[in-house]
Amino acid sequence: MSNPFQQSLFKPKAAGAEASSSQPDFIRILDYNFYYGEAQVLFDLNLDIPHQEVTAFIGPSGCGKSTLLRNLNRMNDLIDGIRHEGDITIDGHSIYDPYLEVISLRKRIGMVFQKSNPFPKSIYENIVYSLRVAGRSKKSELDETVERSLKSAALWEEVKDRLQESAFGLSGGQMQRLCIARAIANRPEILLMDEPCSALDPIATGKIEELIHQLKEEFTIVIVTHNMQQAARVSDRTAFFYLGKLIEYGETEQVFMNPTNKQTEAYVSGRFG
Amino acid sequence: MKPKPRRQQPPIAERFRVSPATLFADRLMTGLIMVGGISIIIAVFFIFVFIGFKVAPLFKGAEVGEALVLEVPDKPFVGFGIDEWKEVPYFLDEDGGLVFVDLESPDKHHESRGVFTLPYDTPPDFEIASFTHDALRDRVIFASIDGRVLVHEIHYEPTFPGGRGVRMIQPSIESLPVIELGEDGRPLDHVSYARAQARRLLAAVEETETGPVVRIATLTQRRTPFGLGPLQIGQRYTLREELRDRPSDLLVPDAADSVLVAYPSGQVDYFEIDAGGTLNHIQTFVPFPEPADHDKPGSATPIKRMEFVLGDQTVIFFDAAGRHVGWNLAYLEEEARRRYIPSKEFRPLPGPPDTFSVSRRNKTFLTTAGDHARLTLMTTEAVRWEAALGFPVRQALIAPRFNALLFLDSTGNLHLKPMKDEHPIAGFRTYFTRIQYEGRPGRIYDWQSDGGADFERKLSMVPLIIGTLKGTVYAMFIAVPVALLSAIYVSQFLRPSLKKVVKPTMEIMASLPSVILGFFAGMWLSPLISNAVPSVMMSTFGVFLGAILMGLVWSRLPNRIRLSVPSGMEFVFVFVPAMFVAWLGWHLGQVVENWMFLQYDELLEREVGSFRMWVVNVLGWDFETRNALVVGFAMGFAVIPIIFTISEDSMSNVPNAFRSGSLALGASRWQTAIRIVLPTAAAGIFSALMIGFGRAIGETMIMVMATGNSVVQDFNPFTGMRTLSANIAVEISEAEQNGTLYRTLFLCAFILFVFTFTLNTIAEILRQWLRRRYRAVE
Repeated sequence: MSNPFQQSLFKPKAAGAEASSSQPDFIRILDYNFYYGEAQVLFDLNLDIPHQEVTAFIGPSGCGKSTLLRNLNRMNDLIDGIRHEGDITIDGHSIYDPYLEVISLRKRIGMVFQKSNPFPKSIYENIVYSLRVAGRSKKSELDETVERSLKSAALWEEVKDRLQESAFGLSGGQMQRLCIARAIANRPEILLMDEPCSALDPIATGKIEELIHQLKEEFTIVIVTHNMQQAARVSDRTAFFYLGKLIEYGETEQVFMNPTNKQTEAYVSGRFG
Repeated sequence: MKPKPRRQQPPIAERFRVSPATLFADRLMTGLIMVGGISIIIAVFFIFVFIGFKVAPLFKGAEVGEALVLEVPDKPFVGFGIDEWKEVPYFLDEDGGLVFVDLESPDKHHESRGVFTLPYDTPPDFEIASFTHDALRDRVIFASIDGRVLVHEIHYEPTFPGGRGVRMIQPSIESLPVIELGEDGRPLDHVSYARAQARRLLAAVEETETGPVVRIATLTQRRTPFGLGPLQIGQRYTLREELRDRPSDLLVPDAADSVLVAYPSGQVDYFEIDAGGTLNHIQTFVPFPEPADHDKPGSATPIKRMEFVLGDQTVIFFDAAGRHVGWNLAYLEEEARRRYIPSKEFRPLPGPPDTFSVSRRNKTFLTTAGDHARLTLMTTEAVRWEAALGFPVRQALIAPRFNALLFLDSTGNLHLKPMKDEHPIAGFRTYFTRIQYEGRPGRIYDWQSDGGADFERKLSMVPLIIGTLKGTVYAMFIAVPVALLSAIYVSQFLRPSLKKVVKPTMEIMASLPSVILGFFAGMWLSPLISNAVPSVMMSTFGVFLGAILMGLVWSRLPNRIRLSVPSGMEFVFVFVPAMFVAWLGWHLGQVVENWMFLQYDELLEREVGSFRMWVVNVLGWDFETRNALVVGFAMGFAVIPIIFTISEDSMSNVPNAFRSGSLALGASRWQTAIRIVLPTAAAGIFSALMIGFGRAIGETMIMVMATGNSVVQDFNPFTGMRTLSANIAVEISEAEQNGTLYRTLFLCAFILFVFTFTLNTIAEILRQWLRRRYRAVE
């Protein structure tokens, strides 16, 4: 393997070493500008996202927080006429490295979407999809992955007897947890969540938030949310965006309790947004 | 306070009122849409019913009406006949005398002539030993006790004695000169006579002192500048040692080139006069090898009766129990000659066959046994009509115009039953079963709609159905991979900006009139392909192979080159090499043809590379210029845009959430397309295939112009076909309104309709199932 990035991807890590070596700049966003055609949507962003913490992106609609999230795993590549300046690095390697295969980048980064999007397949096949596309089809490995992922997503007890049934038979909250289980099945390092609870009722939301708490033991989580209480509840750090610019970024407690910026204060206290 | 009118609503503020125009437009449009929808359903149903009505008469038997009972002289007549107008029947008494009866009917304008006779022109010394009646041709053939033969033909002619509007049918007797057939001056029996244009043949059994012999003579008549010369005996033949036994019957076919001799043992000898004028024994056969009564084991059953049906190609043999079978002349390739083969087995009559009559219009025959009468179509062995008449039948006859059945009972009553049978040769067996046609050695399906009265029309639907399937299969074989792969490519891989150009272009292709495609296929593509099959194949496979190879090369390219190509523009790297490979394949094809397919050309007197000759000589297949391969390409062009457009739409309509979900999990675009998009769009792709299939099945112009329209029943890619739709287009100008062919063409349409209707229904059920299975979450 001549690809240095891929080497770092699959480098086995010692379980003990992982917790201690918390990198504050695991994901770095450097002088980042982003354009849809002629329209610039992100302006000179600079922020570091630490390893194995939950970072929340908040801000009013259209502030670019989702766009930034989707750039972290280059999902925006699918759109015609996009352009960027600056760089994003993960663990020190640029995601725009010409040597980098987008597919391997995405294997490293799980993603949960605003609307739950299980595939029209069974629960089991939904979970093992990422393994199957990677060409892994050993039954024991698949079974083990399904159990582990569903347990991590706190869904195992509810669905263990109907793994072969269609995923569409689940409730909205269960579907979203299934999507989370699917996203973590291939043990990514990073989990991106794009308003994962916006379509859910309070009970389902509560379950997912609880889940996020547990998952941060294992993953670096970036969550976009409209719900300030949610950001306050689940995140360690919060970034506030406004009109494509990063207004404030810091410890969640500090951003909510003691914002340095007037706009942040106005937004988190509910005076606009 | 006045009582309020019922149902009055509290006043509504002006701004909340619905304007009457809105309400009116809403109701009007609802009504219009409903009427439109229902009338489409009704229209389709009506077409179905209409075609059904056109087709239904084909499957009806003969309709025989109530008898008109007419009195005729009460004598034991041995034969009778009638004119085309059913006005003046003649009866043949036991001595060979003729009695004519002028049947009274209300529309006649002349005085009835009652019962009258016409004298034969017989020499005074001609003493009758036996006579034969040929009802099919209205001939009475007399044989004298001293070996002479006299043939009388009864002719009818309409005359107009009282001027306009008064028509009288005038019978006349034409007598041939006396022929001295016998050589020993002994009585003759079983005299038989046939005439085919200038050729005539007489045969009879002469009782010589040494035993019976068969005398056969050809008759010739010179054509001189002063008119026809006298009728003279040309060639004489005598069968003496060749006979197995005393002949029980003789039969001479209309072709006047052969004689069938039956013996009491149940054997039949077939003698034929060849082109050189030699009489050869061709075969001996036994029509009933098994005894009629299975309890009494014994040898073959004797033949009670043997008769030709119209055309004189098929003989029907009867035994005394009422069994009857047909034997027809068939050309046998291995013997390079015609001989009789068993061809038909009819349902036995309830008793011995008393009478037999042949239609002059078709291959039906009427038989009676006791009071049971039956009309059978020889070709398909189908019974057109049968009934118990309630009186013993002495003589029976099919009217010359096939519009009535006549039965003579034993009390001097003539029962004239009007008959309506417009499509005697039609029926389920005609259309859907293998049939042994005259002249052919085996049972086959065939379509050959033209033919005179005595030539069998072949109207099997099976070869047309096979042809339709063949054309459709080849078209789909080419269209489906191309259309589906390009739909996947365009919807999942191509840059959106290029897609905006490609999609409308394909849609324009769909609107290309098929007559243009057919013209191109028939005039330009078929000669091109037929002369360069290896080149075409190598180019086609070359493109696929080249694309796959290029994919392999692509995956080995360094990332820096590979990733510098913008996503969605990779096709350039496949397209250019693929075109090159196609070009290379075309030229290599000629090299290969000259190397592998060398065949000796007799015209050029040297070896040439010819795939076409190789197919014919080595594979032993047929090769036609207008073949299934050409049709596949041309029809592919007609079908590809439809399949492409609909399946591309359905793939593009797969919710983006699925695609991004899959991509976010690290699936490649190809994996996403195959594992997520394709199953989710399955319902749409399936309907695309079905609509394409429907188009291919019904496609007419390309089929008419590029298939050659020969009735081919194999799936050889190098031969053409005739499809149901093309058959309608080709034959419609030959079909007389409401005739058998006309209705048969409607049957083609009906089958096509049922075909597509069934297919579409199944497809719709499957599509709904697929849709439920892969429906997206709401």
